[in-house]
Amino acid sequence: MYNNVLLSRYFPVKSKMHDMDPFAKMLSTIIFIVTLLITNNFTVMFILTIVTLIMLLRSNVPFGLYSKSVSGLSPLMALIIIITLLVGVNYYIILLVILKIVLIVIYTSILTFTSTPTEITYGFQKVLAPLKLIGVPTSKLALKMTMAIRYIPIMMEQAQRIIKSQASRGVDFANSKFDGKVFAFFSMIGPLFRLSNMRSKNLREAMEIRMYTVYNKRTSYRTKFWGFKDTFIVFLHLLILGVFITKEVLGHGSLLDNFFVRWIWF
Amino acid sequence: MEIKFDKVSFSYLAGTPLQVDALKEVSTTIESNKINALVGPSGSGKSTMIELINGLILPTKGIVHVGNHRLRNNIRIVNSNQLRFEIGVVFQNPEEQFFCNTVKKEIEFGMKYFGYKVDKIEERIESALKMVGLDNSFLNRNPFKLSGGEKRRVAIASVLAFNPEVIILDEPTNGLDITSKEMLIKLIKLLKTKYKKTIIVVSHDVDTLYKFVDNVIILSNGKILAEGNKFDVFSDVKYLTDNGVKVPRIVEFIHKVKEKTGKNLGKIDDVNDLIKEIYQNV
Repeated sequence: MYNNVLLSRYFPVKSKMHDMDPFAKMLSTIIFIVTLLITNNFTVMFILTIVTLIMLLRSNVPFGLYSKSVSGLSPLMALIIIITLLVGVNYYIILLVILKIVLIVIYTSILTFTSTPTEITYGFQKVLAPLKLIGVPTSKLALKMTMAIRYIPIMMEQAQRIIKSQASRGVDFANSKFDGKVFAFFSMIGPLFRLSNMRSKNLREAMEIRMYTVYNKRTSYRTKFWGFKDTFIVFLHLLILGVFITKEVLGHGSLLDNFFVRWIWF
Repeated sequence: MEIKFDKVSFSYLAGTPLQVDALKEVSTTIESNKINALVGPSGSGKSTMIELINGLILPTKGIVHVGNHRLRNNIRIVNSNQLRFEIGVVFQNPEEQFFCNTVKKEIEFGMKYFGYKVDKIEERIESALKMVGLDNSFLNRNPFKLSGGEKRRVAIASVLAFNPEVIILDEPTNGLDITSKEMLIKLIKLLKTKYKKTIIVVSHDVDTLYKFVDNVIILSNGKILAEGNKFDVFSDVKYLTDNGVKVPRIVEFIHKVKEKTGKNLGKIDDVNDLIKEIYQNV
């Protein structure tokens, strides 16, 4: 009823994906998402699906966890299907959009299941590093992101505790009608804001006491280093993106594309 | 009201690789009109048990009998508000749930969901405040600006207001000063003797618990280690300490006296009685 939340969870096992450098993972994710968003090409989608599947299998994370994170988005997908059907969009486009959503969810799940929040932040900081040249405070942004990520489970836990204690006083979210649900929601949001405000104040003070502020320069402790597999994965992603762009720009490769489309659809 | 656990198991995130078994085939009966204590280290399943009793979570296996209600896996509770009306729970740090800007509104919050009429609500609020030892001047004060002990008492009053048959207190003495603690213990005793309530107290603090509870259930790793009358449960000190359970200091003292001198000081739960007993024996 209240305990089916699965969000930003690191799954601690040993695997090739866990061993990868966080920067490489972050870079690959960004290239992957960019490629996925700009493409409507079936061949590229097919290749990206295969890449995702290989990475999924190499992550040693049980398949159940991935299916759970995808099934969590089923209402959104249903909504997209309904809207697109009402508007009268081509079935091919609907399939493409759904496939894109599923791939993005699975790919980002691979990233979050195989890297700890600190690793993600490290990767994020590295990806943003070039922006330093134009004066963007990247380490500040990364620190803010760590804190935000760290806050999600805390807030979830707090929200569940408040919902339960309000339910025991008669304002039950799960078992009441619409007006009761609205009231229960507001009775959860109020205390949640107050408590998170209080908590963030405490956190800020605790960090400042230990000289851990955004203005200080920090070094990072790393246990994973860039290796051949990282270069390979990033190169593979770049290759897919590069081939796609070249093909689009120069207009080549339509033969291959048509072959795939014909082969699968007809 | 009878509360019975019949081979109840509960797992968080059941069916996923992150599954955690909080309770494992627990069977027990909680006696009516008694102060029952649930004791055990963190993660032993105490909070899970009280959430099961209140229908906030449903068992993965087994049945929880609460009066006429039967709570089992995947079966929606027929009348959840009736169940919550009969069982009042005061959670750990109950002041976190405060939502309204006056004590009065805070106590009446949710009461209309239990079908109380407006004139009856006024009456209930005043008697609830009286029960926890606060006067009517508190009604219009801001609950956020009260002291820690007062906040806790307002939170307990907000549960007492709808007059539940069973009252569950999760770590009630946590973070309170000695005066507030004693006040709370007095209130719990009064609820049992005068108002004939069944009380379940969950706590780590065995020394404080031992003073006022009747029955004890000791949980360890989701299983019941020992249960029954407090004197019987804590009689086997060696068994409990071997299993990592902290024994009340008074019990430890009586046990050591018995070991060294052979004298049995008897069933004593209060330090003052113990001092009297020692004087008489000396």
